[in-house]
Amino acid sequence: MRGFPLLCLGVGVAFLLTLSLDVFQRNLAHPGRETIIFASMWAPGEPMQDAYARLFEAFEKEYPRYRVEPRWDGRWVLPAIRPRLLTGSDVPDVLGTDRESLRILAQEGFLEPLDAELDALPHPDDAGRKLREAFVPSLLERCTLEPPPEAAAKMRKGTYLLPSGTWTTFIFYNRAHYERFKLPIPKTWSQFLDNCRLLDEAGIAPFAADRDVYAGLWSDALLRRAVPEETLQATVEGAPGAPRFDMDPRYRAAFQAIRDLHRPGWHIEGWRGSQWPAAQRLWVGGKATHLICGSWIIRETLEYKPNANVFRIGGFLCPALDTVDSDGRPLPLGDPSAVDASLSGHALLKGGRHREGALELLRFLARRSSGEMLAKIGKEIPTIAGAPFPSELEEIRADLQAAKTIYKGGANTYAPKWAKFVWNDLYQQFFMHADERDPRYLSVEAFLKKLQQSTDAYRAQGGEAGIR
Amino acid sequence: MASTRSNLIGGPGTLAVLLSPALVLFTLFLVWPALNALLVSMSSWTGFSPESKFTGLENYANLAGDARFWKSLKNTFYFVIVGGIGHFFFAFLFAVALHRPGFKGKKVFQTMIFFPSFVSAVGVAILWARLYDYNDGLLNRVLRIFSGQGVNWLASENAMDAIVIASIWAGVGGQMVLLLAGMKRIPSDILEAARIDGASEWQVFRHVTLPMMKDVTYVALSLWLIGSMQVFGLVQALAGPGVPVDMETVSTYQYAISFNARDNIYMMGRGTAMAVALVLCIVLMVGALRLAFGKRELEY
Repeated sequence: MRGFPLLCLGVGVAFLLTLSLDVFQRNLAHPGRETIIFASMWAPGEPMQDAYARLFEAFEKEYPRYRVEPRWDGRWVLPAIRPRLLTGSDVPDVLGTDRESLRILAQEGFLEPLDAELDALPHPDDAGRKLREAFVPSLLERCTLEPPPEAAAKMRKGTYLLPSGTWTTFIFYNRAHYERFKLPIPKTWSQFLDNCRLLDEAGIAPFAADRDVYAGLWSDALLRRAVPEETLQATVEGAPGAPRFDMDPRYRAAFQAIRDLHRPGWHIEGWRGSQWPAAQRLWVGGKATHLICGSWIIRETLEYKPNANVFRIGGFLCPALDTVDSDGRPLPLGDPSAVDASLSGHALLKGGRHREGALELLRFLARRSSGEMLAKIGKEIPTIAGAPFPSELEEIRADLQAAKTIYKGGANTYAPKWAKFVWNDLYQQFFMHADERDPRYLSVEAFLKKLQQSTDAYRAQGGEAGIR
Repeated sequence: MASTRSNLIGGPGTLAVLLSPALVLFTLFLVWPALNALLVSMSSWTGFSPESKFTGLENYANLAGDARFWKSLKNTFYFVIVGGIGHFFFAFLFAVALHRPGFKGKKVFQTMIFFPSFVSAVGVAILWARLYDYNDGLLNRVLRIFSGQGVNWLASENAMDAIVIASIWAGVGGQMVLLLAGMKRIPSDILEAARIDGASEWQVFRHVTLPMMKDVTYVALSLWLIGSMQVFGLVQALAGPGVPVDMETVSTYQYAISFNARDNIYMMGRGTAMAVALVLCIVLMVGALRLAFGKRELEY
């Protein structure tokens, strides 16, 4: 009995000690240095993690007053930092993630806009210039987020992300196959289908795919080839005079194009049950020709060390749709040169303890040499002005520079709840059940009709604000 | 003084002191989060905002109208029923076999059957993902020898069955151990008496063993119900990171709604409502099971 209170006391002390070590051990282990906490969307083992680790080492050598404590949380970085944001304890100073993920944080007031710093802080490489000029202007512009009406109290329009890399969707192909069968790079959709037909006749599957992992890239690309992005937005939002999914022939053309991809034998065998990255392995092994993906696929395929006689990577933009008529008149289609640009970068979190050090780190990461390191190791398209393209991306560089339009980012940007609750499941059913004998098969007409009906119901419910 | 001291020792005061640490921890880490979850389930909350908006039963009404939720519940029930039949069929089979007197190598087989229970859900998923691979998986390689073609194990029409098979492989050992323990409790002279009276092995099993294992079977079934209704790890690891709707269970859908990083929509309120609905389902099902088994113990 006498020992019991002592035992309780001992357990309590041990418990409190472990709680407090998380806070104090940093100062004990690194006295006299300020620790900048960097929460990252990259996971251990990824090439980008390696690139950042080297940059942090260089930063610490140059600024011995600081040390960087990276947290490699992977793509679940937001759920990982959520408890710290809510409790305000040990909030990271810098968050490295993609642009779309930042919206929720900006709307809840967890991020600091960086416009003032972009104009006040000096360029990291060129004296006399501003930090703002370190970035490619068109990409920095896309880092501006605007508050929706319900978040106006907590968020203002501003630049919340300093971009570190971008990726773009291409149809990647096996050059070895194209050279063997002397196929031209297709400029139109019908040319693309002709190439696929020839490959199929030669016994090669035109497409590699793991279920519907990248199926959304087909719809994104083809919808943008069908209509300008503003038109699609108007259709979703029900703007007066906007075309309807079930009535406008351009939408029909886009989804018929997707249906064209599902001809028997055109996908690798077993694709409907295939688990990522099985399709990539088969593609790199020469078993299929095309794979639609973001430009990150380049760094992933390098890890397979493919045999150059069997596989060499190439890429082209989604070809333009053939002319779509209505009442004998051609309808305006989307810009065939247009590209999408998904951005990743660095944001400054409110509540971080070392703001000054964090800004120094952000300036360091905006150097041309830092951009070069990230591009060279991570194979990302550089966002720092003057940073060289990695050699593997040179082929697509011309397309990127010639693009007249950079897409906003699709429905996930202007109608994320429509995308989640109306679009995703229906499109998945349309894409995955393309065989007429499948009980869940949807014809193009049936799909478009259901899509329009569901969109009408979503608007009747109040649109984005109506779904809680 | 001495009598006061002796009243304290062993009295209600001592009870309170001894129970208080456990009660405090229980309240702090179980009761309070459960009550808080109920509150969150009646709110509109992203999970990132310090504030939330009370919406009453709106989340539950939305669930009632959410076709994807009903689909995930259907998948979950499929797993519970088909998986349960598979689990208990093999668990009883192995338990009866291992309980037979004179069975050689009992310990070895028991260990082999129980061993997969040590493997985590993610480990099981990784192993079975390789086995199920359409082109290179062992199962299809063997099937192609006999029938010339493989099965698309993880396609939507087969995926739930594939998950059930993996789950049976991983979990049958646990049920077997429980049932075997129940069988060992039955006095051997009762079984002998039945055999002497001319009962066949099946009759002994049906009319003697099973009734006398009623309480153990109830416990095993309850544990299976509670665990399988919450199936998450195996499905998420085998079919994720974005589990297709055809393979989704309530837990994976709840995870996708509350924590999903793929579409940047976070609906913690609705996800928590799903969790509460799941708990209610489990409570009702375990209650129904209790009624089905009845309260009376078999006396012998």
